[in-house]
Amino acid sequence: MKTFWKGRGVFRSYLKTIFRNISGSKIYFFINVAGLCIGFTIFTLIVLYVLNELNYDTFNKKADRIYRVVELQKSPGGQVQRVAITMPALGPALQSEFPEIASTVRLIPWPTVLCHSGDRRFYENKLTFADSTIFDIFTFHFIEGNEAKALNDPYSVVIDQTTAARYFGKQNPIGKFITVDADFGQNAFQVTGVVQDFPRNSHLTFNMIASLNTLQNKNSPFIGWADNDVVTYILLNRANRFESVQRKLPEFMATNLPTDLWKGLEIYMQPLKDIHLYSGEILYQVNHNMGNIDTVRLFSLIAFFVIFLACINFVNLTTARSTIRAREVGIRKLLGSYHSHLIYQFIGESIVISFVALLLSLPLVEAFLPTFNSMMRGRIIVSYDNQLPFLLGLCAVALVVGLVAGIYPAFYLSSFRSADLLKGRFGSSKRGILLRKILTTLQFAIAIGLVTATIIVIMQMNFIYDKPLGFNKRGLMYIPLRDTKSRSKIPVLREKLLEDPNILAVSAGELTGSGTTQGKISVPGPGGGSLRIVRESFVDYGYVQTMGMKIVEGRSFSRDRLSDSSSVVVNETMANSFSWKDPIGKKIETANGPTFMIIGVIKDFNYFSLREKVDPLVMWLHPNRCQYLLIRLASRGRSSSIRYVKTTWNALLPSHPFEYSFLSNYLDKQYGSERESEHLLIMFSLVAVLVACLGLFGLTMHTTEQRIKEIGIRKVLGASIADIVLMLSRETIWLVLIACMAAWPVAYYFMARWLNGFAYRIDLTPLTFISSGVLVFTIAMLTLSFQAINAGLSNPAKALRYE
Amino acid sequence: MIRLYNLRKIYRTGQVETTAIANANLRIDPGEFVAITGPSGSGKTTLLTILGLLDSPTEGQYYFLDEEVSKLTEKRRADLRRRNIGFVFQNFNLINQLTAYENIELPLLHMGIASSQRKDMVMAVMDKLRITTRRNHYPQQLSGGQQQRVAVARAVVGNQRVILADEPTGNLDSRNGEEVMELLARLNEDGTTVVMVTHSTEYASWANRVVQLFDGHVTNENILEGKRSVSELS
Repeated sequence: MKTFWKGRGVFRSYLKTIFRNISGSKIYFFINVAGLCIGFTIFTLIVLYVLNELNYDTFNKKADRIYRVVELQKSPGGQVQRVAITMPALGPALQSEFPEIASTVRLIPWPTVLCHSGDRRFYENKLTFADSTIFDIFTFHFIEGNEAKALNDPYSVVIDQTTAARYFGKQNPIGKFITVDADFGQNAFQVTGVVQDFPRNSHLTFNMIASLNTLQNKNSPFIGWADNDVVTYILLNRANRFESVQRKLPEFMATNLPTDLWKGLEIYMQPLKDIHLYSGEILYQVNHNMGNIDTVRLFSLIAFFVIFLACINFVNLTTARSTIRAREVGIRKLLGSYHSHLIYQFIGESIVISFVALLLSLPLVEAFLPTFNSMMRGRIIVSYDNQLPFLLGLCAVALVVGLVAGIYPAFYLSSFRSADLLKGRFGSSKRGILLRKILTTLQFAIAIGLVTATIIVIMQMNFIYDKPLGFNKRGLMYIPLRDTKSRSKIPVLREKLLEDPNILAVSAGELTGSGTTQGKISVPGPGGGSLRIVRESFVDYGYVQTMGMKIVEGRSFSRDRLSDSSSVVVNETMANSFSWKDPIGKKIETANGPTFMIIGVIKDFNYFSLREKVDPLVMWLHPNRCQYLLIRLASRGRSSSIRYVKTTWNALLPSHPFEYSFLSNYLDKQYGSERESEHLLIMFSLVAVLVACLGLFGLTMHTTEQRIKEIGIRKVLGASIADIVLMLSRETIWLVLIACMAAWPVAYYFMARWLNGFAYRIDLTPLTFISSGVLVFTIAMLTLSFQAINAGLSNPAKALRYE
Repeated sequence: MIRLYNLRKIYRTGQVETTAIANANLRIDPGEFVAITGPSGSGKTTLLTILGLLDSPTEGQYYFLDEEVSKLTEKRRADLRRRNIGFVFQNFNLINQLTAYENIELPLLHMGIASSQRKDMVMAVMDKLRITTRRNHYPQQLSGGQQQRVAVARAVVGNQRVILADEPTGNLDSRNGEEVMELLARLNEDGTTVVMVTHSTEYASWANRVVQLFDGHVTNENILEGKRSVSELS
């Protein structure tokens, strides 16, 4: 009891000095709190983002046991690509072969289709065909209907609540019909179930799930081993069976797969929880809002950096101002305070400041969350169900930050000896000064590193946006062709649209030259070799001209030659991969029989993101499989042309809602995730530089206060303002130089690695690095010069009198 | 109360050795008022820091209350100091962030005395030293003399047996200086041992013994028969 009383009294006295100290040096307190507060705000925002990214798909109750099948395709040239589509027969074969596999499901995400029920018509882009086992594997919450039977029959569909409300309002949807205008015809699907909307943090998104057996008639591409077009998921009996199944997969493939079709094909299982963040290299995948583990790591690092920078400010300012506290320490020790008590006092003080900063950061987080979230394309879902653990986590972080920031100053300050009180010699020790220099250099190094990374990201992204893609992306309008009816209107649409003088060309085909399908071809005759995987592109007449692509040899498809329906155009990579000297007139054969003649070679163009190299591509004349109507507009009179296109479309296809966009917008979206990282990186680097400068500001202010007498004497002796400014900034110049030397190699290493992820990239030049150094240096000098100039302008007599 | 045998204190800075105290022998009995005088650099302040258990000697023995203390741990010295020794400095050394009352209360907090008792003790000493009206003032709101009185109050509030004073009048004008001396003398008359470092022969005459230091050596010890006293003043 006695110690409690004793502790309480001493503690109160410490608290009093802490708070009175704070009010006596508001500006330093502000710098410490503001730095930490900014640190916590950024930290909390990033943690929300990181948690959100790491928790993708975890709402599935069986998430630990669910895997996606990924194929590893090896081309004869030794290139390897991963694809997340498989043969339709694979799933059932795996299940019958492996007792460890509890269930499998095949999904076929369908391209956007027009659906209607009564007079309600909508384009649906989240329609998926699936085996009935989908409900055993993924977690759905049924509101209506029987989960076990819902997808047993062909032409059944399970819809989510929002969709149900859209088509049927408040009526019970069970037993009602939704008509789907798909490629395979217009079919009515009966609603057999209604589920709660699927969570947003899922790599799969559904709003309509139709029975897969609807598509599996005799000639369907969705049965057997010949095609590669379904996504397969596996549910294991137990999570620890992963190794044993994975080990037996090569043998399974060797015995089950028709080798003539799929030579060199391997499969592996990708855990469900990895799909969101670890799928960057996988092609042909459904991955809603795909994330990137590198971005998650980068941002985590930044979160750490920003807090670390604020901690450095704290340590620097506290130790720099230690002379002011030294007397208090001496007196307390003299009066019988233990060394340990003083350590507690100073650590306590830093923990208090840390918590004040945390508290102030919470409203800031609330305020910035919407902006941050819109930069992340609305990805972050702050759940208010489990706020307590999150807040406790933040408190733990604040505690750790308080300890880390306070521990050195605590030992440093408490080590002052009370004997020095009698001798009146308190000064900054050499140790303290050296530490401050090291920490300040570290701050600059981090700031320079981040600024360098930001400059490189901006340069690379600009390079990508401006790189010639091999087609003209400006002024190209497109309209999705979602069914056979709209495709059948291509010729008449073209004829009508070309009547507008501002419409330069009209065609149909893929948006960027290639769709998302692969085909297999071989070259007939001796030396032709086995089947090769190539990209397929289905186009209409005039495609090459409308897209602004270039024919390097031969010609494009022509209406005047009937034989062109059995001709193909290939890209340069394709011609090179077969080492053809004269590709024109060469024959290729598709897997299911027909032979085609090459009539032209097209200059390589980029169809996916510039992260990927160009693959061999074959272009078929196939208007019935064209996905988009493409319209090249003149730069003048665009809005009237768009109005004209709309009127024409509505007249020819009154039942099809008019929708359009521009190719440049589509391409920008391709780099959405990079754009996102770019914006955030810029923001975070700015914050890091701001926090570092805040510390520098405080330190300079302190140094200037300490050297006020020296400045006075120098001025009396004839020093100019410039001399004083130089004197006060000389050290900073050195520190920035050393920081550059430390930061540049590290930044070079990481940014070179990042750039390697792009097939087309900028070269790193010394100028990039120098400019980041100059930028940080300039900001530091601006921070400094304010006080340095003030000190230079001050009246020396005043400084000397008050000493 | 205090006995020093062959005490030496040597400071080392790099290659340079400075002998601050050389072979000092000294005995101070309970109730004495001892003045330590000598020129600048003669080792007065060093001697006081050792007597005050703020520093340990390089060689020799130091008995404080019959306990050899020269080799004690920092913690044990802090305990002894807290209960027995009060300090008064030339520059007062009050904590600026605490009021006069809170400054005086500080040693009691470290002794773990209960709050109500603390209040009584602080008020009693403030009353005795006539500074009650200044209880809520911060040091910077007080005159030098008032600050030193607060410092003296702080030195004796826990009924410490020894007061070590380092030039307690050094920063004060003569009137305030006299007042502080008067206070110390009165405390001494009440039984507190006082050891005071001073330059001034005038103030040294308040003591009943003067110890002279020169280059770290005790050169002379004079018992003052005609010591000034408080009763003499009044």
